[in-house]
Amino acid sequence: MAKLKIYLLGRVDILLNDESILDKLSHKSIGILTYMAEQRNKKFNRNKIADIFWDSNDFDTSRYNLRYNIWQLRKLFKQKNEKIDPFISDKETISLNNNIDIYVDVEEFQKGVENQDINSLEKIKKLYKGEFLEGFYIKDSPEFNDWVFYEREKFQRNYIKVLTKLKDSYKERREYQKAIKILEDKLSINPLKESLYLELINIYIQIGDRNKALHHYNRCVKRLREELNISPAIEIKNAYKNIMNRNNKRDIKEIPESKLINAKNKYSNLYIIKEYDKEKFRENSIFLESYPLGAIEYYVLSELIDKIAKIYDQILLNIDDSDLFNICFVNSKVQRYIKDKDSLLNMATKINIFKSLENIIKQISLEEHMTIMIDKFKFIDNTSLEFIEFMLYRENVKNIKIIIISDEYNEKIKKLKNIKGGKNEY
Amino acid sequence: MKNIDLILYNGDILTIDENLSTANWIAVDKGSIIDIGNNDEYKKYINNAKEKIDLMGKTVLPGFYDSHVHLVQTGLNLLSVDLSDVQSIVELQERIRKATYKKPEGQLIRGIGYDDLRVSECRMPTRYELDKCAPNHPVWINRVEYHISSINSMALNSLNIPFDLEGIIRDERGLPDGRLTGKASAYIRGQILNNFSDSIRKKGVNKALDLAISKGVTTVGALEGGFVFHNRDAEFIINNNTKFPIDINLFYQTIDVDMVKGKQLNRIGGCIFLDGSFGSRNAALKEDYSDQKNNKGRLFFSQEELNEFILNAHKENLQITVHAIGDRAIEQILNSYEYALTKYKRENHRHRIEHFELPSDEHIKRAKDLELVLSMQPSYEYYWGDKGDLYDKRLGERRKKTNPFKKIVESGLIIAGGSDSDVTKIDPLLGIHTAVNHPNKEYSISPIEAIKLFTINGAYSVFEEDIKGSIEIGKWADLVVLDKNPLKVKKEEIKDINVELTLKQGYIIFKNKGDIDG
Ligand SMILES: [Zn+2]
Repeated sequence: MAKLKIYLLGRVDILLNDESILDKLSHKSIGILTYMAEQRNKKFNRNKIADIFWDSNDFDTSRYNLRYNIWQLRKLFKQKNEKIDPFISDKETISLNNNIDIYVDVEEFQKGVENQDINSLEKIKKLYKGEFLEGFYIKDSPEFNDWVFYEREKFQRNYIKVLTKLKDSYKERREYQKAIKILEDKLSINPLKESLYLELINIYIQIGDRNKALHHYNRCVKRLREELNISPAIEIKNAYKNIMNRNNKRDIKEIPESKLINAKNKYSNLYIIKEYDKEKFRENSIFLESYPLGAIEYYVLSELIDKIAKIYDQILLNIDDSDLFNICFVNSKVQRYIKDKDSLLNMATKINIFKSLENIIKQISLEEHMTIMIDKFKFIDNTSLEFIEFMLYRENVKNIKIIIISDEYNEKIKKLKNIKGGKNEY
Repeated sequence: MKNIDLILYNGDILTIDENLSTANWIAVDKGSIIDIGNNDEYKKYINNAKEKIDLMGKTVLPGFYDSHVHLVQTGLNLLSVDLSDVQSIVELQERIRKATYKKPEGQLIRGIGYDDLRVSECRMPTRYELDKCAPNHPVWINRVEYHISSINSMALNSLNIPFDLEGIIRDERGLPDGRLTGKASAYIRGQILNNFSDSIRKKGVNKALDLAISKGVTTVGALEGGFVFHNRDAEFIINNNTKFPIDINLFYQTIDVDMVKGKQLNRIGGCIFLDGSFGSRNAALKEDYSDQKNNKGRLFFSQEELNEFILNAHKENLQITVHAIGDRAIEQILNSYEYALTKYKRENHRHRIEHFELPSDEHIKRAKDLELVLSMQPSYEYYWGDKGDLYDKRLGERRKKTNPFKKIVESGLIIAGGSDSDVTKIDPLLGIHTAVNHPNKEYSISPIEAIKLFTINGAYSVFEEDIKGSIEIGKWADLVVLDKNPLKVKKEEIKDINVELTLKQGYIIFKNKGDIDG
């Protein structure tokens, strides 16, 4: 039996016995076939079809054209050695012959739209390869084109229905990454829909990914500003404030105990974790990397100051000039926070620099919990290492965690461990 | 004596240097001015110059700056069908039908300048009406202000439109009728512009640049991307910046500081619309529009949002500019600049304000205290400033307060002159003319001050005053030769002065049919 497959979602394709016959068909023939296939149990009035596809003012010509196109389709079937006539027709009517095995993707799609279970919805989603008859246009058949516009909207609406159901189910099952993907699919249809950004932001807040939440906020703001010159809705602004006000309340105790040295002093918490654990804690921390740079002292501290300036610049505005001056020797970026730029600079001693930086970190920690994470700790420069020791020794900053990442035990870790006799659980 | 590339002599040269000195001849080598002088001194070069131009008494100025041009838009509009004078939809159809004869089927026809309020039907055309005159070409008609548009069926078919987009007008069957407003119009605009190929941009921009060059322009401030425009325009300028015949300084109209930093640009903004325009009654005013009660226009940013953007960009050491027309918008941006500069002192930032059309005396003082650069468009006054014109209609008595060039110059502020093309045509001489012949006499400035807006001030406004903007030894040989001296003609005739030659780094890039032998 002849097998006819017609794909209408996305770019049109028509397969006869699994072989595309699209390039053997005229534009109008494709139109006629898709039009009849989408409503394939219907019997069509021949005049009506002729009217849709040809100029109705010239009755004879349009009837002739229809006959010719139908004849060509039949001929094509014969050429493919199919004995069955794809059409059943008489003088007045025409319809597709149900004795051939016809698959039309929109039929399957339509049947599945009302499904509820995730598996079948996922299947239905895959059927939607693009807009209904995407890019297909018949120049002088306004009625056909209007039908396409109508169907396009209908299927897009149903597709969004499917996506929404899927997204809700994923959220319910806490499969957040999948829900995020679906939201992106929805955004690619309508990138101006603010509620979608809000949903994304909320999911990321829920899974504790503050940076990603912020990213989607910014993306929304930018898109609305550049395309519509409007500000986002109040709900989104509130979500933003929410993100900004959230302290980094990460529960550091999640760190597996066995992999830690926990310095015994009561305020500053020092943790050592292994490389493979780092992603768990990276998100809400000031993440610093050491490199085998040889003698570049202050390298890691300079990084630290850089990040502080990025994240806490409001706090830096209130730091005393004298502290900022000292820090300038490590990283000149903080210069811009100095109020009285004309005052004289003395060469800062190491201890002054340490004290000033400690002071800044202390100011921050008064407002927010701070986690500093140092990757590839074995490469840390000596001065930066000294500073960490200095901090831990002084116990001056309360609201802070220092996490170092190292897969091996070495001299540098030993130094930290020995501060005030911190005990080794490594 | 060594060979030099070019000697221009026998001219009336306004150097626009600090002393506003004059000269008779200029020697050029390797693109730069190597000597200037008076009388016969040029003779020491004449035998060694590869090229000699006898100026025959013509006037030379530094090549002009147009500091505010929407260049890609100007170019694309040059390729579009102008509908600004059609009186009915039938006439529009006729104009579009004609355009179809000139374009291969399937290629977009874009109509611009259509004003639905001025045609007899008082509305935008539907897609059925557009299908009638252009069944085989996608058609896209923009209203003058770009907020409403129409597309035909072929264009509608080629776009992917979210069905739930606000602003799709529908017929009685519930189908889109081709007319689009608000979000839908903006979205489709973005889609269509995104589909514009760079070769179309290239074609348009080259046309626009040719026109600019014929008006003596050698440097353009191009304000590209963002709302009403498209970021691909800005990308196009970035990608081709070395290939244009004159210098193009890009202003990327975005609020995305990171993106701009990532592209290693040192300025951000342009027409970032804090408010709208007087024409559409949405420039933000302190008092109602004279021809519409209870309307004070609109601010599109909250103060908080603007502060955040300005501070962020300011901290990143970018030069910033935004569009502010009405007194309320001007106030808003002054607040933001003050906010940023109090938080971080920065010397020599040269932040700008585009337009600055209706400032108060206090605004001028605040701008001066902030050391801002004002990018203004004198020829607005030429088109809209007289009694009975647009300013009068919208602003009433306040029309006497628009564009107070003299006050601003006297306060010590720097004004960079521009055209806002394609709002008005690129034509610095018309700008100079209008600044001298301001409809409000007390705001007129002298011709020499007016020339500065389009030369040295333009250079200053983009940190180029060390290399361009005046005719001095060591600066680039960007020059324009005029048939008459703007300081010597009757001031009412400045606009009729012709450009004879335009030179970019010593090369003649435009030559009028005049009598100079270049
Ligand atoms: Zn502009």
